[in-house]
Amino acid sequence: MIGTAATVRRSDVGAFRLLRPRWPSPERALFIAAAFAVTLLVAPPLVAVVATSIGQGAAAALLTPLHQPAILLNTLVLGLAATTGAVTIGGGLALMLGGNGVPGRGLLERLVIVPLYLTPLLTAIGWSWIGSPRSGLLNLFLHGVGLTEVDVNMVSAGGVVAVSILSYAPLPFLLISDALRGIDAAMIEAARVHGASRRFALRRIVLPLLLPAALASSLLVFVQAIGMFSVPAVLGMPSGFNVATTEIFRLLENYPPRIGEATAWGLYLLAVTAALTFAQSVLLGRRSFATITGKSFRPHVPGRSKARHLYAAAAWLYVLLATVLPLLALLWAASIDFVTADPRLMRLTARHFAFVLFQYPKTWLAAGNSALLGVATATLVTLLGLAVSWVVIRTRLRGRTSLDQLSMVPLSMPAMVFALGLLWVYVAIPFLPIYGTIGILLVAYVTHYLPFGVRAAAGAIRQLHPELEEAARVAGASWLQSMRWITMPLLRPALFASWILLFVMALHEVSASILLYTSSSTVLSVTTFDLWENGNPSDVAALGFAQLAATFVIVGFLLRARRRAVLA
Amino acid sequence: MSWRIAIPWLLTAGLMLGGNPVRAENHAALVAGAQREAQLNIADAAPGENFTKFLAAFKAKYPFLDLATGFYSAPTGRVLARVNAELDAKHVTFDVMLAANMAAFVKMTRAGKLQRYDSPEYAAYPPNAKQDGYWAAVQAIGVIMAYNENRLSANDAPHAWADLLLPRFANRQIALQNAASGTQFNQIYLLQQALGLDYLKKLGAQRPVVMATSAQVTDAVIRGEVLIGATLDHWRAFEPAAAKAGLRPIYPAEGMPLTLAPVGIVAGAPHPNAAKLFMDFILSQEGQTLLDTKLYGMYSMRPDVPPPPGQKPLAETKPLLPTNLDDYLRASAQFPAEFDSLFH
Repeated sequence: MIGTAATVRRSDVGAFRLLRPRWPSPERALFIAAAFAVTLLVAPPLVAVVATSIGQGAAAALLTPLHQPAILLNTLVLGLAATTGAVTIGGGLALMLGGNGVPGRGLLERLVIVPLYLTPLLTAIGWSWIGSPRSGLLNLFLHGVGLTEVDVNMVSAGGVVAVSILSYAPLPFLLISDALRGIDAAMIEAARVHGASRRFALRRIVLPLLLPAALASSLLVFVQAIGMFSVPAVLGMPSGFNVATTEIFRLLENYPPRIGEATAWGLYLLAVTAALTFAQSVLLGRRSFATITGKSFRPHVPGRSKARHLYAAAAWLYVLLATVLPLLALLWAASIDFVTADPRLMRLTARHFAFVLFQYPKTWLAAGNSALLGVATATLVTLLGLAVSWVVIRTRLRGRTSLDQLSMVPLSMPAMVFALGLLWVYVAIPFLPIYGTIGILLVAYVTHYLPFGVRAAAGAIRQLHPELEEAARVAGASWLQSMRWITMPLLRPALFASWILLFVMALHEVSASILLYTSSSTVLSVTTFDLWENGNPSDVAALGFAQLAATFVIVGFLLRARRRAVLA
Repeated sequence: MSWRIAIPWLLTAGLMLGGNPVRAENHAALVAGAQREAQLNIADAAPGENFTKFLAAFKAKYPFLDLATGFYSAPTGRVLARVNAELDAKHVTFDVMLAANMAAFVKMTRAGKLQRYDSPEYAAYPPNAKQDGYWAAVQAIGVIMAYNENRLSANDAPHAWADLLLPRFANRQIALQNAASGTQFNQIYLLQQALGLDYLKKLGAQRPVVMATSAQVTDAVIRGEVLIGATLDHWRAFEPAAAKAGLRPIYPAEGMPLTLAPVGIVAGAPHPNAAKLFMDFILSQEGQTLLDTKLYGMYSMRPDVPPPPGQKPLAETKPLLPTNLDDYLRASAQFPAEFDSLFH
C-alpha cells in the first residue's frame, strides 16, 4: 500500500530465502500422503509376488497362459459378457427406477441390490441347487407342471455368465443411480424447452453425462468377473468351462505352490485391466461431465412415465431372477433336514438356524469381526479413494496417472495370488506386529477394495464442476475450507453409496481371510467356507440367510440415511 | 554270581516290572517345559469342529496350555502355504502342523523344515505311514465310491473300480474332484499303479464331471445330479445326515486308495516342549482312538486302534498306498497336467 512501509522478514532476503521452509501446497501434500499410503499398501505384496515368481523361473512361466488359450479366451469372454450384461441391466434399472413414478420404487431399489449382499460361494451353491440339469429345483418344477421339454442348465458356461450378470448388475445400478441424482434438472428442461423429446434428452444429455459412472462400473464389473472364483468353480468347472482363477487355484493348491505360473496369469489379467483403465482415462480425459456447478442445482426427477408399470415389471423380473430365486433356494436348504431332491425325505426343521445362531461357537465372534472390519474397511477405503481420485482428477501433478494405475492393481491381480503376497510381506516384518491379528485382515481388506473406493469417488468428483471450489478459493477460503464446506457436502451422497457398497463387499472377502485369519479374528466368510467344506450345506444356507437378513436391515437403514442426505 | 553281572540284570528286571523311569523322567521334563511355554500353536487341515473337541481332550490333560490363541484351521493348501511362508521368513509361530498331503511332509523333511522328535509312539506305526522322528500319519482317509440308494439300487451300483467303465455310468454320471485335490491325486496315482494307465483313459472316456470340492461331490450324489461319487472321502458316507439322505458307500473290490494326513513339529517351533507333548498324545493309542474312531470316523494307521463303528477293518478294505516315495513325489508335481490330459 502507498505510504506504508512493508514489513521485510529476514527470511525473504538473499540466502535466507533458500533456508525458508517450503511447505508443499495442500494439493501436493494430499498427493504425497495418498501416494505414500497406496504404495505402502500395494507395492510390497506386488513386489513379493513378482520376486517369488522370478525365483521360480518367471521367464518361462510368463508363457503359461499362452499355452492354455482356451482358459485365456474363457476368461476374457466371461469378463466382457458379464460387463456388457451387468452394465446394460444395472444401468437400465437405474434409468427406469430413477423417478418415472414407478410403483414400489423404494422397495425395488433395496431389492435390486440384494445380490451384492450374497457371499459369492452362496450364490454359486444356490444356483447349482436351482439350475443343475438333472436335479435342479427349476427343472423339477418345470417338469412337474408339464413342461418336460424345457431343460435349464446353469452348470455351464452360459450359467456362469448369467449368474455373473445377475450378481454384478447392482454395481452399475448403484453408481449410475447416484450419477443420475447428480444431473441438474435445468439441463433437461433447457433441452425440452427447445423442443427435444424425452428420448432425445435421454440420448443426448443424460446418457453422455452418465458415461463416467458407466465406465467406472464397467471397469469394476470386468475385473470382478475375471477375478471371481466361486461361481466358475461351482458352475463352470463341472462343465469344463475353466477360467484363470480356477487355474490359479489349481496351481496354488499344489505343494509347493506354482507361484510363477499363478503370477503369470495374474500379470496377464493386470495388463488387461491396466489397458482398460488407460482407455477409460482417455475416453473421459478431456471432456467435462460436471453437472453440479456454481449455478443453482436441482436434481433431475423425471415425471410419471406412461411406461412406469412396464418398468416396474422389468425390475421385478430382475428381482425374481437375481434375488428371489437364490433366496428361496437358500431358505429351502436351510429349512429342511438335509438337502435332497427326493420330496419323501424332505422334512421341515429349524435346527440349522438354531445351530448356526445359538450353538456353533464361531458365529457371533465371526459376525462381530466381520462388522468391525466392514465398518473400518468402508471408512478407510472411502477416504483414501476420495484422496486418490481427487488428486488424479483435480490436479495436474506429475505421477497422478501412475497413482491411479497402482490403485487398481489389487483388483486386477487375482485375490488368491495377492493374498499370498500379503502373507509373505507381513510374516517377514516382526517389528510390525499385525501378523496373526485382525490388523492384517484390515490391511488386506483395505488393499483389496481400494480400487472400488477410487472408482466410485472418481465418478462422483467428475460430476462436480471445478468452478465451485475455485469460487470458494477466490472468496478467500483455504483449500481445506473449500473441501470442508463445498466439495464434501456435494460428494456426501455418492460417498455414502460407496461406503455402503464397500461395507457389504467387505463381508464377502474370503481369499485373504482364509489365509491370514486366526481363531480370534475369524470372519463370516471363513465360517461359511468351513461349514461348506465340512459337508454341511444346510448349515451354510442357514448362516447365509441369517447374514443376508442382517445385512438387508443394516443397509436399509443406511439407505434411508443417504436419502435424507441427498434431500438435504 | 558277581555283583557286576547281577546288578544290571536286577535293574533290567526292575525296569520291566516297574515301568520305564527314563521315559517317565523325559515326560516330566516335557511337562515342566510346556508349563513354562504355556501355549501351543497348531496349524490344522482336519475339517470341522471335531478337531476342536480333540484339542479339548488334550487340554484336559494339560490345562495350563493355551490352545486357542494360535490355532489355525484351513484347507491343506492354505495350511502348507502359511507354515512355509513363516519358515521362509524365519518367523515361525506354529508349533505343529497337520495336513492331508504326504508328499508335502516328505519334501519338508528333506528340506529341514520339520523338527526331529523321537516320540516313542512312532514304533506303533508301519513304515509306509511315517518318517521316524519327523512325521506320522494320524488320519487315513479311504477314497471310495458312493451312490444314492434312492436313485440306484444296490445291484446296479458298481462294486469295483472297473465297473465305472460300464455304459450306464457314461456321460456325466460319475463325479470326480479336481486336480487341486490331494485326495484326487492319491486316487489317480494309486489306481494307475493298481489298474494301469489304460484304465484311467477309459475312465476319462466316460466323461465324468469334475467338481471343485469333495463337499460338492457329496452334494451332487445326494441330490441325484450324478449316479456315482467316485472320489469320496470314505468317512463322509457314514455321516448321519448323508446316511439318512440315502448315501451308501462302496468299498471297491480292487482296493481302497488311502490319503494320509501326517502331523509333525515345525522346525523352530516356539513352544517345542508343548509340541512334543502333543505329538505323544496324538500318536498314542488313546489319541488315535479319540481322533479317528470316535470323532472323525477315519482310519488310524496304528494296528491297535479299532475301526470306527460300522466300518470295515482297514486290512479288509485292501488299502492301497504308494510304495516308491520318489516316484510319488515326481507324480505329484506333474499331476495337474496329467489329470487334464485324462479328464478334460
